[in-house]
Amino acid sequence: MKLLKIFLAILVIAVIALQFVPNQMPAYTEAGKDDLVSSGAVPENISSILRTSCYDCHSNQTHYPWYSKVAPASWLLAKDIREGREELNFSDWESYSKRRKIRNLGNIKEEVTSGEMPLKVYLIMHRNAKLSPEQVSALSKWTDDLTNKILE
Amino acid sequence: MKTYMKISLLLLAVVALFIRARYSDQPKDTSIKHLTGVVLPADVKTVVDNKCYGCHSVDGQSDEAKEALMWDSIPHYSKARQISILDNIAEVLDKNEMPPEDFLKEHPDAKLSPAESQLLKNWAETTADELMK
Repeated sequence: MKLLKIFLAILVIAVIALQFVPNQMPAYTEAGKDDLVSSGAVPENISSILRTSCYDCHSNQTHYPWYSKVAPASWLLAKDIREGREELNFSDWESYSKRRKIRNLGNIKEEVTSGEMPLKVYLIMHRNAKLSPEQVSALSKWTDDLTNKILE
Repeated sequence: MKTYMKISLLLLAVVALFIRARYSDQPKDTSIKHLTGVVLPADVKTVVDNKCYGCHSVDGQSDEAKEALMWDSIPHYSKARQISILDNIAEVLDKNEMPPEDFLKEHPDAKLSPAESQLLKNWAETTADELMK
């Protein structure tokens, strides 16, 4: 019993100590002129899916949950968001080259069809971000349509 | 007994074939023969043959590399997919991500010189842009 108390005390101290490790969360910025959804070029059903299921990591408009302030969850969040934005940032969409847009669209289709995206770890705390089969096919069709439009 | 011997012989033949395939001293033809849709200029092809093709072809040892890119498959893909692949090639070159660092530790001569990297990148970008016209 005493041992357990010591163990718990150490754990609490360790978790407190973790909070002091420096960690920079990727910044939140309002949508600018290059943002895909604000451009108005995306159909309503698609932009709503993008906002709900993708924008937290793939745009600069991340809605940070309370646990984003608590280490070590904050570290994982920071890493996933940083990597997500680097791979595809809808806030920068209009600044991308045509070929990059086509590549990202192909990847979107592949990731959502295979169920790789949204990330499982994200879905644990964002149940409504899970894509229904209908949403997947809507997204998939949208990527095809936009790709063809760019290729025209 | 007869069957036993037959099986042994058969096994031996299989093993021999395997060894032959594996240690054949015939020079392996690593040239890109099937790139009909995407044309590689001679200088680009030399770089690809020497620095990329070893992993990004059927004979490659790494499944990850093969999954990411197979040079010979490019012509069989849709136009959109070809553009994506070319853009991806340009990006990994731009970020100095290929050949991978840990691979270069074992094979330092596989490193791309800045000129080679630039050549390949320019080719990928212009070819992708060509395809979009």
